[in-house]
Amino acid sequence: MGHVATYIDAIVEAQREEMRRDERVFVMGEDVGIYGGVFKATKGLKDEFGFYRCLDTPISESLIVGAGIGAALMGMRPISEIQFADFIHGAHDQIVNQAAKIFYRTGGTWACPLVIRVPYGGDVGGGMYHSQSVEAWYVHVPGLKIVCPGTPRDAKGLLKAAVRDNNPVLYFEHKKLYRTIKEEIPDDDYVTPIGPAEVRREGRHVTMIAFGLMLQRVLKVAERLSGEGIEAEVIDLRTLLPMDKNTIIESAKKTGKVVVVHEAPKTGGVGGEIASIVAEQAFEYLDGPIVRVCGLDIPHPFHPKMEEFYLPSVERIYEETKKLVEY
Amino acid sequence: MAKKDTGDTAVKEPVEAATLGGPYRDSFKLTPKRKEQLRGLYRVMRLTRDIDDRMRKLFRQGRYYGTYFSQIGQECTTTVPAFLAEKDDFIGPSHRELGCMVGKGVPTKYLFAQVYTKSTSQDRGVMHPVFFGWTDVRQITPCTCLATQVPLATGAALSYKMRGIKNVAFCFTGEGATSKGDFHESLNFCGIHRLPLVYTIQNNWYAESVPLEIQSGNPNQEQRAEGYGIEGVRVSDGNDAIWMLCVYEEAIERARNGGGPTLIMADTYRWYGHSEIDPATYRPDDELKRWMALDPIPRFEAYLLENKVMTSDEMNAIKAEIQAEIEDAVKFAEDSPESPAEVCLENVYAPDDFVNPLSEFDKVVAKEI
Ligand SMILES: Cc1ncc(C[n+]2csc(CCOP(=O)(O)OP(=O)(O)O)c2C)c(N)n1
Repeated sequence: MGHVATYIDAIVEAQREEMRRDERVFVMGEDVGIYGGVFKATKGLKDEFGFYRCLDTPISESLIVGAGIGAALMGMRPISEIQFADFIHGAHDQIVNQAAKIFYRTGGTWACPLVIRVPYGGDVGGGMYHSQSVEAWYVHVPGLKIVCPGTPRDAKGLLKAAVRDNNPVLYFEHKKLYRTIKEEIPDDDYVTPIGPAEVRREGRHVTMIAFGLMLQRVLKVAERLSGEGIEAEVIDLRTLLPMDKNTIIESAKKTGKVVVVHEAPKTGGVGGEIASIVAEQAFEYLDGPIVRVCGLDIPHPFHPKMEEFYLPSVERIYEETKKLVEY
Repeated sequence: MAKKDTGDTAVKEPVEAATLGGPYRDSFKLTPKRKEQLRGLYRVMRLTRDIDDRMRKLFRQGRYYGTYFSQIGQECTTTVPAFLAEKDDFIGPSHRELGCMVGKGVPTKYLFAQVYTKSTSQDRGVMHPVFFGWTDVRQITPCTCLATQVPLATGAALSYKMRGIKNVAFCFTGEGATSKGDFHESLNFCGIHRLPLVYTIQNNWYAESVPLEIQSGNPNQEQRAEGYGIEGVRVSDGNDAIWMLCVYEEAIERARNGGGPTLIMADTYRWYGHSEIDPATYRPDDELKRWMALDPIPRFEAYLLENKVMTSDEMNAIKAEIQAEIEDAVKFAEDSPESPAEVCLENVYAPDDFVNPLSEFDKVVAKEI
């Protein structure tokens, strides 16, 4: 049995179910309590679980993450919400130097089971401080786990997995997906394992790798290419750290052509890492250059026309993929 | 405002040893229980000093790599609160907090294994020498990035409050680290929720070379407490063990019983440079001499003798015991094998079946502020 849920429903459901299952789970962040979150991702949780389990914090990103870490050390299972990804850097030190390294620096005697929920991403008319995709900053940090669900089903399954994980997990939820996609998801308790990527569509001519909002666009492009007799294999990465290198390499070997799509700027982005993995492990199988279709190397623009120009559009992804297929 | 170059520090002249106790002097009663407590505290202070001294010397002899941050001269600010802490009380130390570890009961031999970065230390030798950590006593390994421990202690205090556990989180920094945002963000939050936290600013007047007056617009940093709606206390003779004991007993009692956090600023002095490679030439000539006269340990010894809490024979026996303990610990560390380099590949991620301390407390009792 299942029910239809939007991406944001899935996030609320996951938190509610985990909070019912385990009394140590609690949410803290700005406006998460009385207001139910600026995106309503914590709607109803304060009413059901009370003030301290859905805790409105001051505007203090370092505290929201750092206190989450301290509570996690003392046996709790906190979910710290950063209101917008653009503001996460106030907590950078806590994420990079504390959360990610606690288990290591205590010689494996103290774990940090913390979830940091981070609404991120563009195509929402938010301008440069409400649209950024900041995942690349953190993919560089051993000790973190990073997930970027691209569907409601995964949004729920990965959040539940994150809450149950004994490590700090950055959970990047895409703002544009909140209410623009829905799908049937199971009614019963399920988790989506952190780590494995999902092949969303099988194909033999080209491998397309994406996550988050870009997955939706890549799927559209694959559909269109299919109409032209080009079968693209679409990989939804889902987890960025640790990355499912196997699925990437196997697919690259199979198709010989790889396109990586993400909305963050190209320079220093996750796409560069994926391209290197392919180049290192599947070089002899390649029939063309590894192509990255990414956001431009500029701050995320506000004006709808400019934002459209900035983000990899269905058209741009299609053109670049077509060029590669014909290479 | 305190101006050190004119000699106008909070404590100008050596205080008569037997008058320890600061403002608590008259009310402090030497009951049999008290005497026993003071004997315990004496051992911890003496042990801290002797370990520190030995670690400095070993470093200078080139017996281990890295560096060493001595806290000689400022033992009271760490040993007293850690000595009073209970096992499940969280300790968030900084880089100059040997006394916290000793006071909380981290075994001496593991402290030496740590500075030698040997396989027998808790982290099996992957960390820097002075970053002693010991999970068994809920004391998080210090982090070089200053003030990062402050939100952690705050979170520990939050979890105690939420679950109605009567434990207290202790947090330590120097006066320099209080300039970081983490300090403000945490104290602000502690104030809102009246969390069980005891915060110590160890004012040794210098952050590396930067003196307090160009660190803070208001050098009376304990006054910041008022801005957060919490209790603020200045101990202007942080080398007075009895005064410190009384202040911490009050702060801990307040925290344990729902009275909220306390910000304590205790004035003290480090005898040596910031680390062993710093000759501390930035300090005025006679300043160290003045503070050495306020050495917390002989003052405490004099007090204990004068008030017949201990005899000199008892003290000598403890000193001998400590020397033997340190000798054993040095030998343990030196004889311990180094870890193979591959050890650094372990413990990046915690396994699924891992359980943190205190996880069994699952009742959330706090309902509102
Ligand atoms: C975030 C950060 N900035 C700078 C440093 C370099 N640093 C290490 S200790 C120190 C001074 C610390 O002074 P204080 O907090 O007063 O402690 P004390 O050394 O006096 O005990 C500095 C600047 C650091 N470790 N972390």
